[in-house]
Amino acid sequence: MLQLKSLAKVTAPTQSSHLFALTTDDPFPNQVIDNSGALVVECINVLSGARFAHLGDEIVCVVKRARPVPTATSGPKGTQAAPKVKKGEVHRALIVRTRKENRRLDGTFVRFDDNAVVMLNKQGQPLGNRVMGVIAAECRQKRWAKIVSMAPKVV
Amino acid sequence: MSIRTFHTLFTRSIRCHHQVRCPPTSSVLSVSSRNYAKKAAAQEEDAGAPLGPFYPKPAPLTLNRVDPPPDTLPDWKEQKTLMASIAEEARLRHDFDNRSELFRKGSPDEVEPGSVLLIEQIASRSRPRKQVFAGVLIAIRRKGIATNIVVRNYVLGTGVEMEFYVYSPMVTRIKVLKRITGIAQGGDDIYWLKDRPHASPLAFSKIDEMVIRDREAEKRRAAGAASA
Repeated sequence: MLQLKSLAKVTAPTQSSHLFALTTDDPFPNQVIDNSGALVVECINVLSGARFAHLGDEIVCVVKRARPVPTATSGPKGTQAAPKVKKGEVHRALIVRTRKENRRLDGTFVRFDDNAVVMLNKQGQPLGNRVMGVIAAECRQKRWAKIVSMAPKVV
Repeated sequence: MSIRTFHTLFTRSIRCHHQVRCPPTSSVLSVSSRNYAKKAAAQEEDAGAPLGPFYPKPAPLTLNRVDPPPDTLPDWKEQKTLMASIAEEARLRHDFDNRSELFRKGSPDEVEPGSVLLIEQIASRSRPRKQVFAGVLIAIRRKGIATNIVVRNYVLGTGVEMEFYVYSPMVTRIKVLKRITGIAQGGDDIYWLKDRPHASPLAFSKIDEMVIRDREAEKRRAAGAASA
């Protein structure tokens, strides 16, 4: 039986409406919405070299909070996949939702209630095998087809 | 998948550019993903015949134009009327299904912020796959031809807001699913609803049912039109 509760997304406690996109100068926690084991990460570098990272950009991030590694005796055996990342590790991630509105070519804007990422490894492959939550369609345009195919809903 | 659908997909995929969307093999093969929440429905469903290029309606013959005297600079009043008549003409030419009646102040069909709308849009005219977004209207920004509306909904637990340009040819249908009055109190926006979602008389969770009901109604209508 999959313990779906432990895979549930943690809501961001912060009150500040951090409207602007993710940047290195002002570190801000971002939700992780896959099952790689990380829960909250902070961006430390934007790989495209831009000052701000936007929707569909790859970033380098450090894991601020991760799912606790289960010990041998806890829980029924073989139900929880061992989390692949631990707190303090540096990984890459793809931004899939931003609070800052994103303009599409037909003039529509889309804006989410939080900033969310999906963890990647250095080759650009997702670390988790499942994505929980909605993803912006910009990821498909920027050729992250694997992550888009894992997503339950694309807006 | 029938042979015809496969043929359509195959020929479409070799014609279009890098956005080839094959069925996600990883999700089909891996055991762990089968128990999870439903994947998004196959994106390569029949998008329909490609629409031709967009042409606005022909220009109306007369409008309330004010032409300034040839040698003088128009003063600000004349400029306002001139811009207003240009915007009016542009709106008349881009309004195919009378949607300006929904957003014009003082019209009998006026939609107030707080109502539930369903917006159907297409991303491309050569592959007009309809994408539906429904939600609570939280703002109407009246700016002539660039009038836009902000619609808010919760998708899989996350709040999403989308802004649509009302007169865009990519917005194929704006439907009022439920008319709700009294929330905006004469204003044009209810941005405070983001912080107090429970204050809307219609729970956000009901919107999905309304979308499904609308889709069934559309199917029945299409079936009726096809058989008639």
